[in-house]
Amino acid sequence: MQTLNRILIALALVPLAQTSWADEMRITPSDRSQQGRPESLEALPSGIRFLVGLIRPMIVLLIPGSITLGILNVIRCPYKQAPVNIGVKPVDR
Amino acid sequence: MQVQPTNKISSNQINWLLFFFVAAPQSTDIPMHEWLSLVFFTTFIVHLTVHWRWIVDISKRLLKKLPGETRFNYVPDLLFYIMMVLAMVSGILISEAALPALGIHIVIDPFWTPLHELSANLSLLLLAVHLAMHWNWITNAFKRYALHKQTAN
Repeated sequence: MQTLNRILIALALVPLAQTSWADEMRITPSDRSQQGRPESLEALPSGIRFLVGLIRPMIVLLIPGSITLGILNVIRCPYKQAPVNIGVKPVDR
Repeated sequence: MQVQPTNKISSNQINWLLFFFVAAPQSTDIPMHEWLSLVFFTTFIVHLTVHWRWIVDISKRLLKKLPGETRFNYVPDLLFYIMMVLAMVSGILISEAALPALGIHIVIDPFWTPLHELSANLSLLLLAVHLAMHWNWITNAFKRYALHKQTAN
């Protein structure tokens, strides 16, 4: 049943590969500059361009970072978390 | 040399904030990207110096008895270092604004541009892994020194 579902989903996705709706997205920045068209970010006002430019590093940091953290938590889960030494000697009481 | 934890935290924060903006040349534009990268180069050296004891200690004990997580930590950290060095060297070699402004004129070899892009993208990815691997240290240190909360240390 699972295999059949997968085949049906794969078949349903086939027409998507045949459409040209994503042609504009497939144009690389170098193709764009060769055609004398500005880069999509250059068309934006500078303030918005600044914020939009920060989205990429934010996504690249957040997604793999959270995945790594999630994997680490799963790996560490069966064990008791050892205290993390941040470079401070314990104070005698 | 014993480095104060507060200095380590400040060095880390400055470093990652700078790297974040350096990694967004679309936001900063190329001249600012290059100048920020040169500033980042110095803070990166400071970061390595501040954590030098950990680097030397773990490098010496890598093939001896070490907790698995520490040994695993070393691999992305080493890769991150290699990618950073590659990104910096290739970045200097394709500099269009900062080096000419300093009076250094070099012929840009197109070989370095894709290498710079690849190493910079991988560095960003490895920074995410690096931060995640040291997340407990970061949150504990932040709670202790920025929020002045007592942690389990």
